[in-house]
Amino acid sequence: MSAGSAPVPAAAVVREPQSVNLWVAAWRRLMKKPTAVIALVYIIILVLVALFASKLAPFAYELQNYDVVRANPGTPGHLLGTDLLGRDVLSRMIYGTQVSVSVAGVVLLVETTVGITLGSLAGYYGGWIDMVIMRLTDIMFAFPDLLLAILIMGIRGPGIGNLFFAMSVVAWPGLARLVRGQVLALKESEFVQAARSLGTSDSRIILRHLIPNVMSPVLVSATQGLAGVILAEASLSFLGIGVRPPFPSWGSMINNMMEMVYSQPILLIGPSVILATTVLAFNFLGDGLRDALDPRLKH
Amino acid sequence: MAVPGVGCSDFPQRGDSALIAFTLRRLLALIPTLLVITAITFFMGFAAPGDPISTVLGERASTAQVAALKAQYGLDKPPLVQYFKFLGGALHGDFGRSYFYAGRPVIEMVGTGFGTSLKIGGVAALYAALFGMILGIIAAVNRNRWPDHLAMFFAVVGVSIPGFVLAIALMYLFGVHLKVLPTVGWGEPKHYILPVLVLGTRSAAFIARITRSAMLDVIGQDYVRTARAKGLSQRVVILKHAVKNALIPVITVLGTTMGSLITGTYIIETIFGIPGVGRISLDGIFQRDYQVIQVSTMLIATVFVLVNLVVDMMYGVVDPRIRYS
Repeated sequence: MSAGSAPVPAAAVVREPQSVNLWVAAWRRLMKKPTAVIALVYIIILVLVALFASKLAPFAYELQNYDVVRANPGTPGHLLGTDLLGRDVLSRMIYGTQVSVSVAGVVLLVETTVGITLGSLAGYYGGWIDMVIMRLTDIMFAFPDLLLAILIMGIRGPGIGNLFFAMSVVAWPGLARLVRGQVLALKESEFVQAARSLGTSDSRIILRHLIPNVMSPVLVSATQGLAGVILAEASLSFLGIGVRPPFPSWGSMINNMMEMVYSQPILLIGPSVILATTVLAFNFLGDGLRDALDPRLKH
Repeated sequence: MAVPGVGCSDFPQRGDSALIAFTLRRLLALIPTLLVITAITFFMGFAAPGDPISTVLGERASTAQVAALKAQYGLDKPPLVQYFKFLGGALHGDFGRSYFYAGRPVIEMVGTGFGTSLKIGGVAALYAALFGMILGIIAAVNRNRWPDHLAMFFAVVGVSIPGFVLAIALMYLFGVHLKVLPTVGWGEPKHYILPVLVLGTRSAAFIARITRSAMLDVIGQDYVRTARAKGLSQRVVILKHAVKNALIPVITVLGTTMGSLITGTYIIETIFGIPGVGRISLDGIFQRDYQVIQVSTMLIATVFVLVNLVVDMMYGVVDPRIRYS
C-alpha cells in the first residue's frame, strides 16, 4: 500500500481530476478491502433492519404464545424458535438491532461532539482550560472500562435513555485526549501560524483549520470504539442493567435463555451469532478505515 | 516480568533510588485520585430515583419508621456531612453498613468476594499474558506461514467474541457435551478453568496481536541481524534479544486490558455462579443496597489504579533506558 498515488481502476480513468480529495482517496482505498466492504454492507443492512423492525418482524417482541414454548429453530412460523415464554426469537433479534444500532449511533454522535470540542479547546488554549479538561479525563480513566457505566446503570436503573447516558459518559475521554494531542501538534504548524498572522480568529482557526485535520484519526478511533460500545451494551443488558424488559437486546436475550445451554443450546445460537458478527463487522470496518485513512500505518 | 536467561541485574543499582522516589510520588498522587473516585461514587447515590430506606422497609412503612431508620444510618444529615463521615469511617476500615442485610458491615460482605475475584483475575491475567505472548511470538517467527495465520485468526475471533458467548460455547463443549468440567460452583481448582478461559481470552488475543507486531519491528532491527550473523541459534536470538525488547508495548496493552479484565469479572461471576465482588455488587444493585455498590466500586477502582502503578514500574524493569522523573 503506497502513499500518495492511489492506483485508480482502469474503468474510472475517464476524467480524472488533477488532485484527489483525501476522503475520496480514502473511500477508494476502503472499497478495495473486501473485509471492510463486507463489514460496511453488513452494518448498512443492520441499520435498515433496525429502521424497519416493526415491518420485518413476524411477531411483536413481547408477544407470548404459551402453545409454542421453547420451540426449536425451524418450527413453522418460528424460524429461530421461541424462548421460555413462547416469544419469537427471530422477532426479538430484529427488535434487538434497534438497541445496538441506536446506542452505537448516539454514542458516536455524543463522543465525537464532546471529544472534539473539549479536546480542541484543551489543546488550543492550554493553561487552566487544558488542566481542568485533562484532569477530568484522568478521573474518568481511573475507572476501569465499564465500571462507571455499571455504577450509573445500577443506580439510575435500566432503560434505553440511561444506557445512552451511561455509555456516552464513559466513551468521550479517549477521543478528547486523542484530539488534544493532535491539536497540540498541529497548532504550531506553518499553516496555522500563517492563518494566525493573517488575523484569523481563534474560533475560525479551530473550526476551519484544526478540526478538519483531526477528523480522520477521530473517525478511525470512534469506529474502532463502536465494536466495544456494542459489546458493552450487550454486557450491561446481559447483566440485567441495560434495556428495560420486555424490550429485547441481544445481551438480555442471551441472559434469558442462558439456562437452555443444558437442554436446547441451539436456541442460543441466533443472538450469540448476530452479536459476535456485529462486533466483528465494526472491528473490520475500523481496521479498514485505519488503513484507508492512514496508508503510512502498516499492521 | 523476568525473562529467563536475560541479565537485567544492572537495573536495580542504577535506578533504585529513582524508582523508590517515583513510587512514593505516585502513591502520594493516588490520594486525590482516590478522593475523587470515592466522591463520585458516593454522590452518585444521591442521584438515585427513590430512596433506599423506603425501598428496604417497603411501601407500608410509616414515615416515622423511615425517619428513624434514616437517622440510624445517618441519612438525615446533609450529603457533604455524610461524605466526610463515610471517609472518616473508611480510614478506620469501617465502610458503613448494608441497608438490605439489616446493618451487616459492608466491608465484610464485599471483602470476602474481593479475594475471590482477585484470585480469578490474577490467574486470568497470567493466562492472557503468557498465552498471548507465546502466540504472538510464534506468529512473528513464522510470519505469513500457517502458524501465523492460525494465531491471528484466533486473535481476531478472540477480540470479537463477547465473553458470555464464549462462556456459552465452552460451557456447552466442556460441561454439557464432554462432561469434563463443572459449569457452576466454586471452591475447587477445576472451577477456575472455564472462568479463567472466558475472562482472559480477549486480553490474550489483544496481547497476541501486539506481541506479533512488536516482535516484527524488533526482528527487523540491526542488532538482531548482528546476533544472527554471529551465529547465534534462532532460539537464543528470539528469546534473548528479541522478546525482551518487544516487551514494552506488551506491558502497555497488559495495563489497558486490565480494565476489561476487571469488568469482565461481573459477567463470569454471573454466569458461573462465583461469589466474587462483581456478583455481590450486582446483587447490591438489584436490592438497591447503595452502600454495597459504592464500596465495591471504590475498591475495584482502587485496585485498578494500583495495578496501573505496578505496570508503570514494570517499564523500568524491562527497559533500563526508561528513567522515572
